[in-house]
Amino acid sequence: MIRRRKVWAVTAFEFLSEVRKVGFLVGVFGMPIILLAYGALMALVGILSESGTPRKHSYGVVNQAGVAGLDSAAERVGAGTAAEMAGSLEMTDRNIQLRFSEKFTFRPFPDEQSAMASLKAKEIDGWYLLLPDYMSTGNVVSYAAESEGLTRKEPESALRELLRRLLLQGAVPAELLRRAEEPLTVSKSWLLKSNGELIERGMAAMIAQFAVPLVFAILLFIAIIGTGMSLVQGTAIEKENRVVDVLLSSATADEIMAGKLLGQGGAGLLQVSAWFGMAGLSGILFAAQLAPVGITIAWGPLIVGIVYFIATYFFLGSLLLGTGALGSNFKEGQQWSLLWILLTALPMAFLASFIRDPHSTLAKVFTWFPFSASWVVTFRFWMDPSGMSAWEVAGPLLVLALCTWISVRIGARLLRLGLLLTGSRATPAEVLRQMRLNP
Amino acid sequence: MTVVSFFDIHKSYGETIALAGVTFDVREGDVFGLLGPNGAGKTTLIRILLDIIRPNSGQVSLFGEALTKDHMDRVGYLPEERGLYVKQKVSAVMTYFGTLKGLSRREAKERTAQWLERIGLPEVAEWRVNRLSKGMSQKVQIAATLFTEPRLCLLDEPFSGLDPVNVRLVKDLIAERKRRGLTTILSTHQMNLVEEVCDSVAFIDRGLLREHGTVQEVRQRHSQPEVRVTVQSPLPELRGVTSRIKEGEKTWRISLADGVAPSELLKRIVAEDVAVERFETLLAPMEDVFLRIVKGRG
Repeated sequence: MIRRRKVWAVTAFEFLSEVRKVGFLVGVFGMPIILLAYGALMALVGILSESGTPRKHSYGVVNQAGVAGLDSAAERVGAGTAAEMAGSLEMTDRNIQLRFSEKFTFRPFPDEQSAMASLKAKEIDGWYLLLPDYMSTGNVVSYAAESEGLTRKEPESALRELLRRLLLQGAVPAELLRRAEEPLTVSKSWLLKSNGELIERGMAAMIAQFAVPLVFAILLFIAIIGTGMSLVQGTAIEKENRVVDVLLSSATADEIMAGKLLGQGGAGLLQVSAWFGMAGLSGILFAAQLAPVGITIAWGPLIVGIVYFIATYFFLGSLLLGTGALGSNFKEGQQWSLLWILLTALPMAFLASFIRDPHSTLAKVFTWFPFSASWVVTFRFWMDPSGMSAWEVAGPLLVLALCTWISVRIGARLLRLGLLLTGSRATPAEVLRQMRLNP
Repeated sequence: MTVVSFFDIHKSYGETIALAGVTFDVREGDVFGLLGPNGAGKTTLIRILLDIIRPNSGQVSLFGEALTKDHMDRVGYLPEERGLYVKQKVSAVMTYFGTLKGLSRREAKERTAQWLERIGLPEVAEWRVNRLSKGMSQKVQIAATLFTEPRLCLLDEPFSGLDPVNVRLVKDLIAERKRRGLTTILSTHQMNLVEEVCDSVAFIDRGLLREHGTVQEVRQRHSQPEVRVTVQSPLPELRGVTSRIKEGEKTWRISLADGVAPSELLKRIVAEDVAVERFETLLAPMEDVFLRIVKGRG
């Protein structure tokens, strides 16, 4: 039977110890500032890279297919001297620039040997061989320097544009040629928000739609992992200092675990509430400025995020506490806890996919995965609440509750075992042996 | 009244036998020495008494009842390796330990101040534990164990790291507990202190109880039959004496033959019209008892 008085004593100590740390205050007030500063830095880097003059990439072309005009066009693009040719290639050039923010020049070579020699001499970044059967098959062989890295698709696209222009030139009317090269120009883009509001889809709207939920999902993730690791660290310190014997002489392992979960969880909740509260407050204070650009504070996802934080914290925290206690010091505790951290972080690998389609099958699968449900649900719900039904928000919470029920039992048993293993190294075999000896 | 009772306690860890049928009692108000070499099974016995681990078989009773976790509010424990949160403030740690033992937060804070004053360290209340010297840390730990005034207290090596002044302080604290009828179980390797402060002892070695009784009884059982006598006139030849060594002008150390009791020898001396100034039976020091038991094990 758990004695509430003991649990409360542990809870109070754990909570006060955590919130009195300088690191906690830095986390509460510093983390949003750090994230904002990071975002601003990234934007600045982007702006600076856009404004700078991009390096010109030079590629060779060996035209065994005899594509009309390629040799001269390529030569002139490369040399950049003939005004009429430059003009005729302006569209191609602009397309490339628009898509890749880089320019490419193509230099004709009479044969493969001379192109290869030029590549070896590092005069060009690579070269393309248009095979004799190119017109019927489209076959092209590419050669590139090792330093080209992973950007080979960019010069290929540029060459593709160039070839398209040359192949169609003269065969179709000029106006049709221009339209074929640039079939559409989106002059204005509008976004219909889930609340029915129609806003222009500019950079601010993009931030509102993607960046804000992303930042909150990451904050939630950091809070859960950070709070969980505080549990592991605290228990490791108690084992190292032998405080654990004093604790166990006063309270049961279950009472200690409950107190730790509540105390550290309370501190974590305070942190998350502070972060979300700051966001909410900012949203209220700057509502007039943010609303026209489509940034509004989504209270629903904020509340969902807090509820999910609590549920996930108890689920993950009990597992982290149990397995973390098996280590004889913090480092070993971390190693034991690594599995749970990896499972929680796993969906981060698919973040790009979630941003493209927040309601993809993958996103839906991870919504029900208890380790990641908190931030995936919050992220999806924030990005597009209309795409999530009520059961898809509440259902994973029930799954989490069930998993928490199981994990608390497993965690308590592991914690009890871990605390008794003080002084000895817990291998998986030793853990199993001890579990049999101490049922 | 018996405060602690161990009956036929067995505990093993896999193939390793930690305790094999240990049985003894601890009387209320006693200062009890739990003795034995390293790895003898003392810590296992202490952990069983604290209900941290359970024995494989046997019964433990505390305060006349079967042991439960609820008894632990009346039990204090000082671990051998110091159990303090090194990055916390002294007052915060003591208050926490107090509340864990059932004190209210306010009461725990008040007692913390009183006890820090008592051990001569009132200024460290707001210090972080890692700022304390080893001796200070030891005293704080002892205060944190005793300040809840537990009916039973287990002190594992309470004197280690203390200078003579602080050894005296701790001995005084233990003596005061005794005066108030509170029981203290002491585990230490400092046998001279056992002689000074303990009423009874149990000696455990390799999981077995090798000795149990009052300090006097145990020392007698392991002592050679020797007496020291101080006389006012020359000492004549006496029957039942195997050797005699002159230790001073009038003082002799006498070894007795088998079967001769010290009281019998005293009668014989008096019968020779020798005025006896001082007569004492010599007991083996506890350190010798310790060594005899450890060396004598099979």
